[in-house]
Amino acid sequence: MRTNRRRYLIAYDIRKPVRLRRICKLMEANGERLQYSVFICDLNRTELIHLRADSEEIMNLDEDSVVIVDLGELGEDRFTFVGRRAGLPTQGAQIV
Amino acid sequence: MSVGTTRPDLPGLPETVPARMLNEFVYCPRLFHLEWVQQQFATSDDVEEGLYLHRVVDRETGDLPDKSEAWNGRVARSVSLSSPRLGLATRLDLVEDGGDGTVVPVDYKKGHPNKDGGAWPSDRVQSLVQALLLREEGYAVERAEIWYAETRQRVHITVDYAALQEVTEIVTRAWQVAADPSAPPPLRDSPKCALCSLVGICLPDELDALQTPPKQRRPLKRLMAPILEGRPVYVTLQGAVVGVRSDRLEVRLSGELKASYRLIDVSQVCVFGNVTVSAQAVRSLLSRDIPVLWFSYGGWFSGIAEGLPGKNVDLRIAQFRASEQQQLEIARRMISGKIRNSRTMLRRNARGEMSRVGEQLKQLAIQAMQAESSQQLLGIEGTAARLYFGSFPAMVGKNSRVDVSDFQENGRTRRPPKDPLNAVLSFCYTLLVKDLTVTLMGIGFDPYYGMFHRPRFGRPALALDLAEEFRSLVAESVVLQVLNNGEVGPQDFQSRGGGCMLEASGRKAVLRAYERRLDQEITHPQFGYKASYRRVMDIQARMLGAVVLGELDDYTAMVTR
Repeated sequence: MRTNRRRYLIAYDIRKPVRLRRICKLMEANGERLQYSVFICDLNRTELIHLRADSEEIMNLDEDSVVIVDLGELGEDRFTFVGRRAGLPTQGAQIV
Repeated sequence: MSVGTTRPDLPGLPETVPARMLNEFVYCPRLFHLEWVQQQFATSDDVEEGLYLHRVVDRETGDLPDKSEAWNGRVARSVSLSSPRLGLATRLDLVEDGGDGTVVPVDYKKGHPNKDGGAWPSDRVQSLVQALLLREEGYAVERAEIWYAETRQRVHITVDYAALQEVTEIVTRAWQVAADPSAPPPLRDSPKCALCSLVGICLPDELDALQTPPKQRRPLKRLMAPILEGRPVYVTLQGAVVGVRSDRLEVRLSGELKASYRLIDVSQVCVFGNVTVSAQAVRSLLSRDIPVLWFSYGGWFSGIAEGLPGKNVDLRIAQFRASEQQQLEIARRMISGKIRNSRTMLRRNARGEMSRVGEQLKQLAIQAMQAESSQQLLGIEGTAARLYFGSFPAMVGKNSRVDVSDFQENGRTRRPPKDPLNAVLSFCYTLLVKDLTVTLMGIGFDPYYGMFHRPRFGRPALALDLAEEFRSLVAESVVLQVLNNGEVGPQDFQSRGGGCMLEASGRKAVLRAYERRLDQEITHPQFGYKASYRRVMDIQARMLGAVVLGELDDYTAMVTR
């Protein structure tokens, strides 16, 4: 399947519980949770811009921090799991 | 000095045209028509980047000065102005004090100035309209400025009588285009198209190619249309509840989470049988233009919920006004295409001697093109279908675990399908019609008013029409794949009361194969670029729209070589 998406590792450090909860929801809407405050998000340019704009809305830019790491194109497995494995994003149709 | 613009004296047109739309008009009159008159909107990465950049000036702050007030060094952001007298409206990003009693409108743009360091014509006109509106409010305006973010440059525009006169003429032309129900033709071979977010709706190169005789046609370089990121979600789990939480679609069974997907990934939600979709989920999905489709447990397409109907009213009017002659002409081409596709299917896949059937089908395809009435066309189609399905089992290979001898005896049967092969065929046709219904509705067609199939019994007749040319290419090809690859076996079917039904396991296997097929890329026979079947279905529906609207002379069915 063709895609314009790239894979990003996104981690955050948010100082106030209210903002933390909102950032957390935002990340859940955009990716799969890898660890407590670390998400893997497959996003295209538009989606990344939205995520960034929405984060800025929620954050206190003086105290909080969100880091976005570009892991490149999808499909390349750059992950080594030691211990419990986490689910990575999938592509294609979903049949439940 | 007075500069006025003319809004045509037609009731039903909006009072004012936004300056932003005049920017589009100068860029491309067709874009202006699609976006403003037809309200067709598509976003692109560039558009979104522009919006992100724009957020600094999108918050209303500051007031414009009272004309007597000293306004030294202050600015006002996001100021709305309109004038019914001029028929214009705008939102100014920034208004600055120009010193010497003048004000300066400043517009924020994501891009860069042209190669001479000046403003692009479309941006210039937008700024001049803003100047015109400020003047109408009584401010003195002698220049406007555009801030180009990419190169961090400010470009000056002189506001004088000549410039405003020029804008007045452009606005008059724009109103004329807005008053016309049909859109202006696309630009030809323009570098602007590659940068346009509506290119996948407008299809300039494709329309141009179909108007050129095949021999002189050049293959189109690339598919400029946006990539579709969404994916369908099928819920076949009986008793499941589909809900939305944190902008994720969640499927639960007895409270236990079975699956969860980001809403930004979902293109449609198909539910089979006893599956509950919560009211919140439906609303959340519809607000994102994601349709929800309901099927009976046995796979009967029973309904669809989608957001508000397509805004493309002119297309629906044209669809209902199409003459019988035009409908017949389109139907001929669709049916002829269908017959040619089924012939290709047999030639590629059937074991044994097929040349006689192939020759007969070829003749029928030619006859279909010449049919004089839809009854005659129906007869030709029926004959072709009998011939084709008579040979269909010859395409099922040795690896198949499913016995197709019953089909040989029964032929094609429906409601209920009598044997496994008929059951898979019926299910695949349902899926095909489902996707074409969604595609047609998305474009603005009424899927229930067909060209060939009659609009009766609540059948999506237009989707059935368009399905004809895709039956072999998509549905039957999936049927052969699941049989010949052994993806379904005898245990995946259940016979009950003279009918045969796919079991849950078999249905999942067919769904997987069907979605795989839609994502498969082929070289488009008319345009020469690669596109997935999913995209080809969308292109065909849009081409049908162009024919109905009179932008294209003849419909061309999708026929593979």
